[in-house]
Amino acid sequence: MKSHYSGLWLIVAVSLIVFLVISFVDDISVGGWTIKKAPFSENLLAKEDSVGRNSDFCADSLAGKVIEAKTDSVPKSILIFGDSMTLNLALRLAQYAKQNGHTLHSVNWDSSNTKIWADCDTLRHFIRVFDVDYVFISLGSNELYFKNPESRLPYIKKVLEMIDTIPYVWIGPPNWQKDSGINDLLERTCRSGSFFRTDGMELARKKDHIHPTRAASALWVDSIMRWMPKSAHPILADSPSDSIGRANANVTFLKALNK
Amino acid sequence: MMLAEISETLLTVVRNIADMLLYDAEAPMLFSSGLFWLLFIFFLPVYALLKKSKTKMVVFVVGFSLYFYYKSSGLFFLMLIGTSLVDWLLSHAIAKLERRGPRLAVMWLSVLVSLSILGYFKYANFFLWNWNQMVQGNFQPLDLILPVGISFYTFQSISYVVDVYKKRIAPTESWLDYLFFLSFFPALVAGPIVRADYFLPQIEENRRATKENIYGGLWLIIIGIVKKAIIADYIAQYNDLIFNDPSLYTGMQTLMGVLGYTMQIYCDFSGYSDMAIGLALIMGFHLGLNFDSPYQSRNLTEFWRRWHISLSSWLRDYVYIPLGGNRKGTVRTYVNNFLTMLIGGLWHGAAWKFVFWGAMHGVGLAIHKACKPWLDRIPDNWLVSFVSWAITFVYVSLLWVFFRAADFESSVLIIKNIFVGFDINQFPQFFEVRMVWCIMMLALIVMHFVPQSWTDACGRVFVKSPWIVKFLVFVAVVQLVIEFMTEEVVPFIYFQF
Repeated sequence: MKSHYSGLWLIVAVSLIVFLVISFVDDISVGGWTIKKAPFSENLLAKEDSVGRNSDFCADSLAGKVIEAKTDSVPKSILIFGDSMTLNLALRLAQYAKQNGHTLHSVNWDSSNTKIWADCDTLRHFIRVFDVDYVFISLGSNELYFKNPESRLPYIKKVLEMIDTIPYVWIGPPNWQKDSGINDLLERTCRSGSFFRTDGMELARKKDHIHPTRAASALWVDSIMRWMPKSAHPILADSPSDSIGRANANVTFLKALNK
Repeated sequence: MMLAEISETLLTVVRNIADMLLYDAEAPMLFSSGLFWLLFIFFLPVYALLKKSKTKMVVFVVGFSLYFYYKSSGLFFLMLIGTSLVDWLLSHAIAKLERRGPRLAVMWLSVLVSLSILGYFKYANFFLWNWNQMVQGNFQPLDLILPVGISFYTFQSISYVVDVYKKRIAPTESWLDYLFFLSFFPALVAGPIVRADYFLPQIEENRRATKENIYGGLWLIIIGIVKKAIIADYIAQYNDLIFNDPSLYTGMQTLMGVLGYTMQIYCDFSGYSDMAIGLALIMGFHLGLNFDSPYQSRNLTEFWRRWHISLSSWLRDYVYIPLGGNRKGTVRTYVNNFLTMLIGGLWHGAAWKFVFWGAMHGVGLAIHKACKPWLDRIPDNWLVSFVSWAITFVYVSLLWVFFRAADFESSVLIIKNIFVGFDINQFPQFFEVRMVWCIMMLALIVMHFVPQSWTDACGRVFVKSPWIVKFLVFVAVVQLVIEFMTEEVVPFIYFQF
């Protein structure tokens, strides 16, 4: 090999070896700053995916994994919270609540994500104030295309820690494009039977091509409620009668900066 | 037990490496990816050994390029081979024919074959959508995958055949040489659009790469990585938020998103070009300059002389001049200019927004040409320079909105948001919560406006520096990529609720 090519080759090869070694050793910190690692070790040692990656509508796909629990017939104080998808979900959920004797409170925080909810005590506050004993979470839409979805794991865990032992259903984000892995991460992290996988559902969208329309959101809630008996902690979820009319979703809006 | 675990781990590693080497539509091979550099470690010594023999070098590089294309586009690499064979045979047919008529017919046959393939993969669904709109039809869109880089290599093949027809170049004696030119991996997926008359003689000469070529190439790659994998990929996250949901943001936030996208598209595109040019230089090939600080331009004509130079010069030579250029009167000059930009817009993507973007650039160029006699009379001082620059920059930036936004309505909303809802008082708060983004933008603007001689001087210093300095710079840049790769921009930062 020509000498200048040897020099270049050494630069590239030695660099690669350095990054390869770093990726396999424990975290290296320099003055409080931890060096981030190239994902060599994850990529090279990754085992075949043990979690089903079925992107089709999940209600049936989850059925095999979850042991059907007995439906809890006690009326619940339900909280649904999350990003801008929450409002339309809450409007339909309120009709289910009315039909089945539950009370619904909703907290809609536009553009929020797991980090935002994890970093403040807003969720604990509302759980305490509304004396919540059932939770629906609508988060993940603003993290669908993050390059490193695994970085959200601490925030997801923190949100679930705040919910503690309260039964919950995490409503997966309604993908408008294939996500970078947040759905798989949520499915892995949530309690078995507590994650409703939305990706794969075909939902009519608003003009922004992102948010499902109100009608589509209603159908989305209907799907969740049909799946409810197969969830980890089923509650009464009879379909609202045609005469149910409008129901109060008790929505609290959290406002964004400068808006 | 221990042995079993080791063998299982080894098997896992081998299986994962094998998986990585196979085609994956989700993971095309990019110059900034770890896999590319892993392969480059194997490519480089073999290339250095074979470089002495032109034939061996060509066969090896063609093989690597075809694998590179397979990794990005799967079996479409066979189509690339087919296209090159057809072009090569037709170019020889053109060279053998004496009379102009048959030569012209064969040339058009080749151009039409190339354009048909491009049209089918890139524009068929766009055509069907428009047809459905016009006649209330309900043709279902075709399930098509766009082969990576098809727009670039199609233009290269057209220029080759046209140049053979015009007797600017002779067809290559060997089909492999032509396949080398068409599939040359540094320029294959995102340009620059290499011209045959510039590149083919370099294959023939097979010049050895000097130290300046090799380390100058590495310097360009480093610059490209900084632009593409660090700056563009990071600032894109904020810009995407603005463009995906413009109704949620204030005028000031939206303006930052638009400025961010203006710089992002430059860094993204020119960064990838830099990497391509650098890789080619390491191999001893020159691809030419593709971006020349375009946002320094003081008018739109200058902008198009500095932006994606290989495309704009291709459009000039193979569309504008054949249409008549400026030889058929003032009105025809404007029309030709406009049509050329329209085609340039459509080349960027199969959607009306790209057509509109191209058309508005055409209008801008026509206005500049019309006003030029009057503009030339204005004394050239710093104020005039600044105003000219500002008008050009604002016009180009606003047109990027149409290029990037999902649809026309979103574009209008974004622009309206800026003009109606802008409040400078929000900037300190914005800076506080998006400091890294702001610093990156500032650094980028400074980098863009420093004189080219400074950048060249840095390159020369790098080339002359000791090996260890080059190594440390390379490692530092790659580590920065890793640091920013996992850095996510949150959609909103809330102070209160």
